[in-house]
Amino acid sequence: MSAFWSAWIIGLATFNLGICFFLFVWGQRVEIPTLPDGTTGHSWAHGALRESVRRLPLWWVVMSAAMFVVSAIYLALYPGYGSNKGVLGWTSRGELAQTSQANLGKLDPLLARFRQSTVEQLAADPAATRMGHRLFIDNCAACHGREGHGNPLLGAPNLVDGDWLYGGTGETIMASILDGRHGTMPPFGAAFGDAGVEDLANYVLSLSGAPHDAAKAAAGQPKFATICIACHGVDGKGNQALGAPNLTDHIWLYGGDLATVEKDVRDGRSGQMPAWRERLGEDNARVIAAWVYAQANSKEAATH
Amino acid sequence: MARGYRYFEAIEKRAAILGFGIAIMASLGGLAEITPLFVHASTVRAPADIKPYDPLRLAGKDIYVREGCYLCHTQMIRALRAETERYGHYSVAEESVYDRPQLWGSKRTGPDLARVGGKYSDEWQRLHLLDPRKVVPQSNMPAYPWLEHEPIDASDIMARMRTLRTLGDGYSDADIAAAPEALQGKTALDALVAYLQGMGTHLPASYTAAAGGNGDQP
Ligand code: HEC
Ligand code: HEC
Ligand code: HEC
Repeated sequence: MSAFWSAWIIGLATFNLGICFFLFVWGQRVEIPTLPDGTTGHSWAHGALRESVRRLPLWWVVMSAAMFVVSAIYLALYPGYGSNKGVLGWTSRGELAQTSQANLGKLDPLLARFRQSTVEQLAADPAATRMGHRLFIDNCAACHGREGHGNPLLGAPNLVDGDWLYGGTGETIMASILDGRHGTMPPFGAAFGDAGVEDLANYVLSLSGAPHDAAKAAAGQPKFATICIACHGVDGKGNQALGAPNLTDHIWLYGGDLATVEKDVRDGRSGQMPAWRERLGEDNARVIAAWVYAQANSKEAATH
Repeated sequence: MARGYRYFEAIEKRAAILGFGIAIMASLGGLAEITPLFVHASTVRAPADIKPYDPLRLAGKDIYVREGCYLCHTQMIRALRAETERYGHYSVAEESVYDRPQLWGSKRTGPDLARVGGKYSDEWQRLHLLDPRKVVPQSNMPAYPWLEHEPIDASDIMARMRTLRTLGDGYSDADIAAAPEALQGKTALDALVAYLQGMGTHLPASYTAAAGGNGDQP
């Protein structure tokens, strides 16, 4: 703040307080000329309202005096009187840094403990998974749902079913969260035409034993073998290095009906998982991964 | 002392003089608090790494204003721990230099959006705007299905950019000439998503260095 604006603020504040203080003192001392009937002679509304003379009530005087004292103390302690920083040197940003530091101080022992464990070990620690679930709801639920069941409209996978696109070890889950994932399934509508796409879709459905047209599936098989196996594997079981899903199970990213699978093949898919390294940092990602790992593995245990 | 009272009587009995006196006293606070900020605001300059909106984002910002998103969403992360933990680094003046009007907002029915850029995928943003319930089942944000079918009107984008240049935004002639083409075939939804995805991704470097940033006003 420049010297001019500092002086401007100091001048106005002093002037304002000064006038108020003057009126406060003078108002109590002034002798008010009084008529014999005990009024000041001021009248309004053709004499219907007349002003009589009373002392200012004590509570009012005390409150007003207190106001001057409080404003003087406030201006001395806090920034407000021009560029004066105040005795306390308070700033909103300083307070933020202080409260953040205090919070870290409370959290640090816990985080230090977490840092020494693997995601797999943390999954058994209720303090970590509770924190992880909180953070999951705040940041991940918009795509994966509050309990991690996924959303086929986005191709956001179910994270708790024990089936993985990229892998279910603590380390791969951490990698998925910190650096994001982008699975790209190219479009094949132009290469195979509508009939070809339909054949391929029927073949894909046959892999998991879903209802399909056997003749079309048979026609699709050689097409699948020419190109799809590059990513989904010869047996259609997928490839975790590419995030290409297993097509032989009943778990679908986008849906397991014929129309959806046809759309997958015709138009391609591009499921995008944002990277969270900057936003959340490793400590937060680790407890989230622990919650995901715990859920996935307890569900798996429950279904077997 | 009784003599002074006569002035008081003159003021008290004439409503116009009394009103004038009150107006002067009441405006002192405003003069002290607001005028220095006005002058300060006009001296805030965008650092080199913050660029004016490209044409698509500019069109998206206008749709954000038109649809009244600011009525439910703020774009102002305050320097309070509860906010910085949830939304990221607090907002700084340099980030709103190109917002005319600024869209800080004052009511949060939904979350703050100042740093929502890159938080979700484009596809999420599209689905969410078309029908929020498809991604957040308990959401009470309205759906904006018409945006998907509304082409962006590119006819006045050059005029808008030229106006902004008059106000100081650094568009070159080439930027302005290329604008209609950049909007070719784009819908209102594309523009709004592009705007949202750019939000808050350019915190000036001077703030990211030290914890808490330098922060002090010049
Ligand atoms: C914008 C939507 C979105 C958000 C938000 C999101 N994800 Fe994802 N996530 C996806 C999509 C889509 C995929 C699938 C990526 C692919 O197909 O390559 C995915 C994949 C994953 C995977 C890999 C799963 C596997 O089978 O290998 C993990 C783990 C994961 N997300 C965890 C998280 C966590 C934890 C968060 C919160 C910090 C999160 N996601 C937030 C959309 C999202
Ligand atoms: C370049 C590697 C690649 C090739 C080639 C490829 N895919 Fe894919 N496919 C993927 C990836 C990656 C995904 C996951 C997309 C996502 O995460 O959004 C996928 C997803 C799918 C899905 C959706 C699965 C689900 O769970 O919803 C189907 C169906 C599919 N592919 C079938 C095929 C067929 C049929 C072919 C051959 C015509 C083929 N793919 C060729 C990589 C490939
Ligand atoms: C009636 C109030 C309301 C209006 C108007 C509104 N929103 Fe929302 N918005 C919400 C609520 C509530 C949420 C939180 C639930 C959700 O994610 O849908 C939200 C969430 C969001 C989110 C996700 C933020 C995050 O970090 O998860 C974005 C982005 C968003 N809104 C953008 C918009 C845009 C763009 C508009 C204008 C076209 C708009 N909103 C209008 C209430 C509103």
